[in-house]
Amino acid sequence: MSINAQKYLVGIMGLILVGSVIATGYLDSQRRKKENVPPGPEASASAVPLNPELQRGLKVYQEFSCETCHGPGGKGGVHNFNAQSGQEVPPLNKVADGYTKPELIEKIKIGVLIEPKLDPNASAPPLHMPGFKDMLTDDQMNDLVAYLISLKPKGEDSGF
Amino acid sequence: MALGSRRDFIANIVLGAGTVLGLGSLAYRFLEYLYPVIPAIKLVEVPAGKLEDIPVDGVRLIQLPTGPVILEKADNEVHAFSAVCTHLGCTVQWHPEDKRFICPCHQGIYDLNGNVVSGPPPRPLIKLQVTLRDGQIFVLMNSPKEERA
Amino acid sequence: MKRVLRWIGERVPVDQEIVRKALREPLPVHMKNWVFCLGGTPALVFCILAVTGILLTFYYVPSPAQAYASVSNITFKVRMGWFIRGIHQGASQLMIVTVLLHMIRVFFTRAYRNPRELNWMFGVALFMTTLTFAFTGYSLVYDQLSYWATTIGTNMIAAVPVIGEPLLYLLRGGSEVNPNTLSRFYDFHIGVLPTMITLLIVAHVLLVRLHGVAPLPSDPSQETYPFFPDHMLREMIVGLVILIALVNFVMFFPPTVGAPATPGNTPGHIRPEWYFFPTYRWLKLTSLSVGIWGSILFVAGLFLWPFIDAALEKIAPRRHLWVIVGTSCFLMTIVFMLWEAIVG
Repeated sequence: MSINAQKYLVGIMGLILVGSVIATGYLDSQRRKKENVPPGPEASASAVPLNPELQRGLKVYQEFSCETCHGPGGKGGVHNFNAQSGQEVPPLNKVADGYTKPELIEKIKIGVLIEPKLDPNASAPPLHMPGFKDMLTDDQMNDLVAYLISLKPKGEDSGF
Repeated sequence: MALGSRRDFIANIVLGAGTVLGLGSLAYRFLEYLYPVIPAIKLVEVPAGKLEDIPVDGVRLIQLPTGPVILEKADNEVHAFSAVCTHLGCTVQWHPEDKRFICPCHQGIYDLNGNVVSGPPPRPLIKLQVTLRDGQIFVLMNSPKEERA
Repeated sequence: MKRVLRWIGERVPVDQEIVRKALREPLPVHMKNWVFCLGGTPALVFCILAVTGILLTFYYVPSPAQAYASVSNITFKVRMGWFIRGIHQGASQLMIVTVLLHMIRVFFTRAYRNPRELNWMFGVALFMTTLTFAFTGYSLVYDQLSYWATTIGTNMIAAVPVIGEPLLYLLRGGSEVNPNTLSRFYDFHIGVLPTMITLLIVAHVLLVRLHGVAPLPSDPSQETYPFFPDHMLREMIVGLVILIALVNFVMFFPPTVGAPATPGNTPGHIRPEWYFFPTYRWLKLTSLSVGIWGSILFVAGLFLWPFIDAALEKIAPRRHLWVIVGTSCFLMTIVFMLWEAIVG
């Protein structure tokens, strides 16, 4: 292949590359969720609760990887493709409203073996809630549940 | 221009253009990736403590999730200012003995009305809208909650 | 353009003749075969990995609590995040493949012989560094596969005699996998290894340029063609093929994330990445100490191959023992890899 022919080849391939890169833009807008972050004066996720039981609960929450799926402060936001829970790992900061303490403990012990699908024809959600029955002592479980219940955002923020 | 060198010239242009456009398009995507998403600024009503928490004829400097705020009580009316210095963004401090707000960074000085007394600040402190409900103070502030990405 | 070059020439006092000679370096015509572009290809893929890797560090958080969430964030929330991560993953697989192919090419064209033995050893070091890059990189995702592959991989190191256990503690930053481990693997991946590989690449390329391209044993003609612009254009074409392939591959096979790491809970089906299949299969076949010793000897053999080859030549000249050794090692690797892939 002559030198000039090779130069033309490089030029054309450059344009093919441009075309492919442009196509990625269309894909990008399809796959990402819309920017929809509602602002709000919620209790800061990094605020360390003062009482020692909640501090222990926070430690359990972090050490057993709860935080990796349910987010810091139980805020959620971790993507779970095709999961019924809004295609995301559900947040935990309102569990105080929906569960009693024994119900929460049961749920954490058993987990959810198969996460229900949003679209039955699409593939299964990759993330599911593991069961922590043999992994937490009773004390750790109690501390964790106390921490989760405390995550409910308070109505008022006090300053210093 | 001889025919041969014109052909070479065109080939060089095609080569250069193709390469630059190709790599440039990738660079553009990389820049898109890096550039942060700036969420729209919304106004929110932020609870800022109770009326009785402000000392009489005094000042309370309070840290809200949306920023530091100065609360002043005068004749049962509450005034609120942003405690962010208009010079370069430090938080001003209240000096009750001088009845002045002083910014520790470059010594900008404001009075009780937020006006600049001396120093580099270019504008007075931003005044914020206050609502009182059952003795509970609410301040209207900007809330661009910057999340990670 | 000529004026710009003159401006630079005045300020970077390099003899223009040397530059011109280096650019027009005559290459033997056997290099026109595309197989001989396999050397420059890993260098290009490495550049892609470095750029996308640096971009990833803008959003990745190397703490056990946030690593997984940050990777998930990049893959699903950040604008073009899936693209950058996908290119990085695809390029890392491609890197291993192209380094292997280059190694095989160099082996079967016997380009490692005197005086190029040192360069071969640098090359093997580059290969090992590439594998270490892949291992440390994958551990950063902190999903189940990451976590357990790291645990198993580092445990294997403990089985090395004498230095194994202290080396394990050094790697892990503790006796068990702990938050220090992730930090260390991160620092290896973005600091230590890039420095090492850059130095190795410079040494390797310098040696090739200084020695000149190894002559092919069966090269009849003495014909040559210049590096610039002929060979450079070839390399550019290869480079663009790779870029186009990667970009399109990522669009059709975007990256995903597995289940997050759960320390107490090993998943039923745990396997390393495909490029570790041969070692994995070998270790499953033998006892731990035989397995480890076998692996160490294999790597040592790989390093010292030019000298082993020279010794074989002396023992049995013109018996082409190197072909037998090379082909059988290659076939064994493929067999082990497929065995592990299919049977598991």
